[in-house]
Amino acid sequence: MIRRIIMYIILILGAFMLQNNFFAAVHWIDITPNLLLIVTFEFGFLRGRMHGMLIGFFCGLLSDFFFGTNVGYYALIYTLIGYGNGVLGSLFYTDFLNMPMLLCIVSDLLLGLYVFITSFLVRGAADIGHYMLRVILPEIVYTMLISLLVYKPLKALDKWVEDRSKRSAKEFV
Amino acid sequence: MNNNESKFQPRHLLLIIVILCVILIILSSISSSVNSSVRGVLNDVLTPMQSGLNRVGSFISDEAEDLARLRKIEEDYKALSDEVAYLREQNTRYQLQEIELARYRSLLDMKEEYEQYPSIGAHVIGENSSNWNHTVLIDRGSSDGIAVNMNVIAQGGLAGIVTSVTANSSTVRLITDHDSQVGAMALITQDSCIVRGDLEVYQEGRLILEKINKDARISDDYKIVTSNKSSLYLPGILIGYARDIDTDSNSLTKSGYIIPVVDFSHLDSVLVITQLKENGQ
Repeated sequence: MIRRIIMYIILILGAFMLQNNFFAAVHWIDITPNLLLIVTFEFGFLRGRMHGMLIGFFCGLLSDFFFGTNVGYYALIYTLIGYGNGVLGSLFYTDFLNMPMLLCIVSDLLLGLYVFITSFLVRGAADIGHYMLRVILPEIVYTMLISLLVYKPLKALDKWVEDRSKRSAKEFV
Repeated sequence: MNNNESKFQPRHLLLIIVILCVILIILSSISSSVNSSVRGVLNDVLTPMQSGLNRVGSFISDEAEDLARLRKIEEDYKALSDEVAYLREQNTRYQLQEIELARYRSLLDMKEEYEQYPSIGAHVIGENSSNWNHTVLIDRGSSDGIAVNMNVIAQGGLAGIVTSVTANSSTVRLITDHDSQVGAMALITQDSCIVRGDLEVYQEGRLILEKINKDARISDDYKIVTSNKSSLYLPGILIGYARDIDTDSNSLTKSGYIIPVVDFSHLDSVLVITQLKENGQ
């Protein structure tokens, strides 16, 4: 369990800093892929609602602390996305590669709509078509591409940590 | 932590977290200290790593950009040398106009005085990547004398305002953010207007210029600076140049766009003005 928690902490912090510090400094990337979302939905899908929800909560909280105006704003949606993917993960066969792609699209779309509705629509920016095309869709495409790249490695890492935990549990107990 | 799922249903925890989030959202919208106090702890640990990664990113980005630029520079050089001749001729004419302008300015008793404000340099170490908001993280905080609502300038123009501060870093909301509204005026005519950030027009490198009185004399290429009447921004900081001013459908106001002087996609170092606007509160 300790190993798993350490892995999560490293992944979350790594994704956060890569996204906000490294990618942000590379000027030619206009729209950054949402790495925190990838970690959230992937582990939600692989490890169930509990893991997805908690990872989502901390990912969201981290975004809130550094850049949000309201603490809890992103934490709320990431938690729900993590939980939702956990539910879906228990319903579907996990090795089907198109499934995470689909999850990624749905998750990112949800996140985009959430931000649009809660902080843009209320301010009278009703032109959803523009935001859809220029912000939400590009983010989905980039996030999906990255998630395709990292899905297998993350899954392998997950399995490795799982095996190590089991082995050491056998040794000690 | 969560290995006894049988006793404790995940949906209970979900409910707890959702309620917690809602409480946090409400609390932090009431008082901003909630945000900055918790953030301070995290920040001390993460800031060094963040600025390191940021430097790596900047380095790679700059190197690649340099290569691409080199080819373009050669092409540009030819075109530019022709232009220099043409501009030299024009310059003479502008010099005459400048003398005239200086006379008008002294009549209006207006100076660009923001160079006199005390300021402190800072590096941009992080950028909000949510694609929705334009906020950046800088590597100076309250220990360097930075406080909330201090104005941030870059490349000779207004870049944003400090919205929250920890010991070693602060968050700056750029004027391109959709939450940002700056009270402004035309430098020459002193007609007031509002500069508002908007995600949609920002993609064309513009901001919205609005709430201009229909009788105001603001037209294309007028210098827009922060207004004396603004409650948060110090007066006389250059924002940009007016563009495409048109009368609104209500026939009472005019609006248009402003081209900011700051290049927001290459915001590496900024100056924080350590003087706060005194608004009599």
